[in-house]
Amino acid sequence: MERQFFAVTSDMVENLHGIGISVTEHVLYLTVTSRGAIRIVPVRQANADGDQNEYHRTKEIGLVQAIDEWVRLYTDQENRCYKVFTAPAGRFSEPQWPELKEAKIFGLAFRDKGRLVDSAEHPLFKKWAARDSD
Amino acid sequence: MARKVEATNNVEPADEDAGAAALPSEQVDALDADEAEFRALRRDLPGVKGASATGIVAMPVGKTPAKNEFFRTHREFGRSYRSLIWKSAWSDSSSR
Repeated sequence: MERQFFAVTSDMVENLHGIGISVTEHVLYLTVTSRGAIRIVPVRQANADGDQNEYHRTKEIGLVQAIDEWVRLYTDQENRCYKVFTAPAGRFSEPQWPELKEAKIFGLAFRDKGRLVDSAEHPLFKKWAARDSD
Repeated sequence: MARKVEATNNVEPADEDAGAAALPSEQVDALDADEAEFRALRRDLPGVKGASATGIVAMPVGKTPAKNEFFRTHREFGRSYRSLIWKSAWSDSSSR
């Protein structure tokens, strides 16, 4: 089994809740490694009480720090959080980003892979609702 | 990098035009559209072996950037909005 992220349209939140599936707010970060691997990293946001998992909170700190400098995340298992290691200045050249609009990137990441739940006819919704034999 | 891109773009197989000429015009137009789309998607990254030829046809999503890799974050992408995300355990063979 593999953990996967699914984007959900606002109008589907209630429908998903009705079958026992809850969604949470995430901020999407677009990252590129020093070897050119591009990836979207969703970071779960604080809940209604303002509480945010420490791993999520420290991961977001590293992602924001990486806007201006090359960093590497590593886990601090004793303190159950991520820590940030910064590369020496000048070690890597400036990152190259794909010239794609946000909508296109979002589409490649979610819709094109069937991971945008935008209707009750989505195969995964139907499976969770035991309607996949319709 | 500029020299490398220029050289790549100038390479045209000798029989490419001959093959295209044999196709109906609507198919040639479709090929041109595909090529234009591909060139828009393709980005040659400096010093990245292998990645330059692939283009971007998929966008991985993961809980962290690649393990033990140095990375940078795009300054603007995604920071102006929040998305509703549902994280699920699901096998690749079962997903659409």
